[in-house]
Amino acid sequence: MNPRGRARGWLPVALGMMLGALAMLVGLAQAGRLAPSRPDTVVALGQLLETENRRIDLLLDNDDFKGAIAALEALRTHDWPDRETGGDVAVQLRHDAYGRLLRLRLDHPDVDPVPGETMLAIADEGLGAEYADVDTNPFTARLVALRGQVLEGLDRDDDALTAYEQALEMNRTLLERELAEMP
Amino acid sequence: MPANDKSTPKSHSGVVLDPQWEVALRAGQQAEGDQGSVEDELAVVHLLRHARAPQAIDDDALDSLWGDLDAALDEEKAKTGWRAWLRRPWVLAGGLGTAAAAAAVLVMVWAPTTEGPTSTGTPQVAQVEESGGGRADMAATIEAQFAMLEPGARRQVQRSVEDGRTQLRGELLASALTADGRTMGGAP
Repeated sequence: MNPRGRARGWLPVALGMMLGALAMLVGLAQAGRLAPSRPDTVVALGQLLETENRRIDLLLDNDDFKGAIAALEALRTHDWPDRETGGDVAVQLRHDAYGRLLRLRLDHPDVDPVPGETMLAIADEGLGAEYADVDTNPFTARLVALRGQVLEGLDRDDDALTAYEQALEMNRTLLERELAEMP
Repeated sequence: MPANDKSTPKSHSGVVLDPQWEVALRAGQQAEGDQGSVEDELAVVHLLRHARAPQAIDDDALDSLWGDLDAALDEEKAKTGWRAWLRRPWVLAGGLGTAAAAAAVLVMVWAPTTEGPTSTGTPQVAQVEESGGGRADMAATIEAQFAMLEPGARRQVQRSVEDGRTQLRGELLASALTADGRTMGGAP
């Protein structure tokens, strides 16, 4: 067989391999999203946070930053389900709530002030140990970046830079994912 | 054919086209020990005979002839036609690459003008990412990216919660249907 004919023969094989690799990546991406073992927990948590978020929005509309921070601090005492119980969704909801709290505390340092170490403890508490395993999402990326901002306030510039880079990498992944999903 | 051959038929008009002439010619050749060749002369005679009275060709032979012609024409087209170009790997790969590049350009140019969280957010995220400079700007950059990605992510979380609610509803319905001997729906 001449070289051109051989190349023509390999073309379908190469295309098949590319399609197979693509299907594998999609499968792995889907597998990375851990489904909740207790959907009732996620439903209850979703309803609670929907209500609380609306209440906090109303408080912020009235410039009641102290009330909004208090409402979010109260959520910290909630019995948050872990990743195994609530899946990635529950962890994302937690990251969202803690992100709102840290954002408010950083933007309004004079309202119910807390030391920087406490802010860092809030960030670590919100992220949890499993945040790196959670499917990439904007809420986790934002909380990681806010942790970096807290670290910057504590003059831990290298740690802050690491956190920022981690958050940017997450957002880059999200961007690539959105581009891939475009029709 | 020997020049002094006495068996050569008379050369007046029409004699050479007589089939008996061919028979006599071959007999003479055989008598001389099959020396020489008369095939060229006979081919001319056959041609003259066919010109004078065209011989009919049977259907099978005609179909076979057209089949050979079609095959030859298809082969020529396959070598030189536009399908032949499509079969060339570099044309296929180049075409696909050009189409993908054109699609990417269209997406990047048109996406900001369309509606929806995905199409509006993505190019802006790319712009924000490019504008991010030193460490001081990083926090603002990430916050700006979050503002764009947030609506879509919030909808996705909402869908997941709805899925859980649907699953729960199904489980409750199934357990109610399988309940045996117990009261259902609050009936006494």
